[in-house]
Amino acid sequence: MASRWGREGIAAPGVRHERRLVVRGVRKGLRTASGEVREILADVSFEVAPGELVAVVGPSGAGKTTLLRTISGLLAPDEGEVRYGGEAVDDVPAWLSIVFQDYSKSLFPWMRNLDNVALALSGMGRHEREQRAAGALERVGLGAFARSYPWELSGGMQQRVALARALCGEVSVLVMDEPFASVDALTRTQLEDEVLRLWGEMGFSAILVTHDVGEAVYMADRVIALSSRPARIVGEVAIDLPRPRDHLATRQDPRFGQLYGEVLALVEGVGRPAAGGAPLPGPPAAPAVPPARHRQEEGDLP
Amino acid sequence: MTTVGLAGGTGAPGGRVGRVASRLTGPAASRSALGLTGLLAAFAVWQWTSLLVHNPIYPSATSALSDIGTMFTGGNLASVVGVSLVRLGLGFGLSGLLGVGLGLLLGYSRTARDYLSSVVDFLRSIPFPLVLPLLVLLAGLGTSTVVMLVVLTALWPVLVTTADAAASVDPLVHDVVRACKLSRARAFRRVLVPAILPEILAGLRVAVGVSLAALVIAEMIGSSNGIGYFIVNAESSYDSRATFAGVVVLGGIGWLADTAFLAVERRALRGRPS
Repeated sequence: MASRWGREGIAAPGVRHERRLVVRGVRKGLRTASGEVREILADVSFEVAPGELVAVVGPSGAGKTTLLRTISGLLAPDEGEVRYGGEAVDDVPAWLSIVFQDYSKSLFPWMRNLDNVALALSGMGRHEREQRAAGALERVGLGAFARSYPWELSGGMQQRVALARALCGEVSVLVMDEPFASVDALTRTQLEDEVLRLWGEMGFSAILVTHDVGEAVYMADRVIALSSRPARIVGEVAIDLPRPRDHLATRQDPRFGQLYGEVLALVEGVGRPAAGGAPLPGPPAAPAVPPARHRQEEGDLP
Repeated sequence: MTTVGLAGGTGAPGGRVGRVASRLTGPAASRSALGLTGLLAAFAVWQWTSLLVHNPIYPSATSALSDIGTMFTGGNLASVVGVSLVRLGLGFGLSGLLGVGLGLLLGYSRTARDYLSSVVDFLRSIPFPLVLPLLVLLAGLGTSTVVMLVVLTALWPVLVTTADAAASVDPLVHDVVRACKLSRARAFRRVLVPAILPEILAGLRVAVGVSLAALVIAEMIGSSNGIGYFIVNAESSYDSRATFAGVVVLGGIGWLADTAFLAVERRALRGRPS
């Protein structure tokens, strides 16, 4: 936390982020189409310090999105709790914002970008709402596109509009669900830096859910690795790379490679029933290995 | 639908006329040019077949049009059409309000859907013109009976398309509504209705046609004025010219209603990706 991107003196005035987000013993099952309840989250616990950027990685289908929806208050956990400071999170709280993966659906095509951003603001006059939304668009470098429609912009720009929407209120915790998964690789690196810059400037805590280990290591203070379904935490890696980070320098840092390997080992080492220790409750012995996991046959890591 | 089909714009199947017209004045003008061409062709076919048939039961296009003119200026056709238009507006408007309202309720509320979807399916399979005599006994001859039948008939396409569209709105939209902490009223006004506006409008457009058909049926039996009564009255007095005039006017009302509706639809969907 010592040297944070542009943190010095630019933090948004008046907003204090000093509470910890605590996820404790969260379990969640979801009903499948055939009516049976499938366990998605098996006992997930972790904490996010004020201003910390935590990445959650896991194999696809692990239940990352379910975890994120539970943390955000979109889903109630079956067991366990999510607390922020002393406050329990039930419906999406005012201090929490979400960036969804699919900007083409989360931005509404019948609203101009300004209105899409202003949608997240309430409890103020129209003028102030629009002013603030315009400010948020300015902040992500899209001030000139306030009057355009989202579908007139490129994918990366649209996700920046979504980012502006998430950050236009007084946000203390930003939750991102694979926010860069739907854009091309170059745009992706730009967006990653954009998010790091805003995080540095505004000082919120952030949870980044991703299946991209490199992205998690590049961005986060700490990476939490999830097992495949039902998801539990199999380990975490503190990322001690210096900030500000930079795509060229950081990714060429030997330490980056080491950390990348550590996280990958955690992620790759799980997913087979035997590796995680005791067999998990829920679906019986049948190894529920999703098709995307066949790579683990070769790389046999702990 | 023809208007939409022909509206293919600058691209494909516009035909030579369309292409020439669009090169001159743009797609909107070409659309009306094509529409006019089609109408003229239809009248030409009518005129030609009437000359072939040569029977007073089947008047020519020109004589029918001049009849309409005299019936409007000298006769009572204007007031007849006026009465029907008011009923059409009332019936369609009420079907739209009820259909969209109930459709939103059914589509967005799982509970309402569980309770009401069987009732809706039961009611909408009833051909309500069959119970028209009962409506007449209930409400007498006149506007209330006619409007009731129109609503009972035209309500369903609006309700069903609205409810289906609402029920299949992407779950992410609901997540966004919650993530943006929208109040219920604001959610409906800004998101949940606009999200399905194209489908609502499609349902309403079907209802325009259904309303007109129901109107005529209702007026034939349940009323002593209006265009439906005018036609059935002309038929029973073997006045084929008045019958034809009435039918042509009816077609004109339908065409006008649909054109007006399309204009409203275009306006309502302005600023969306096509």
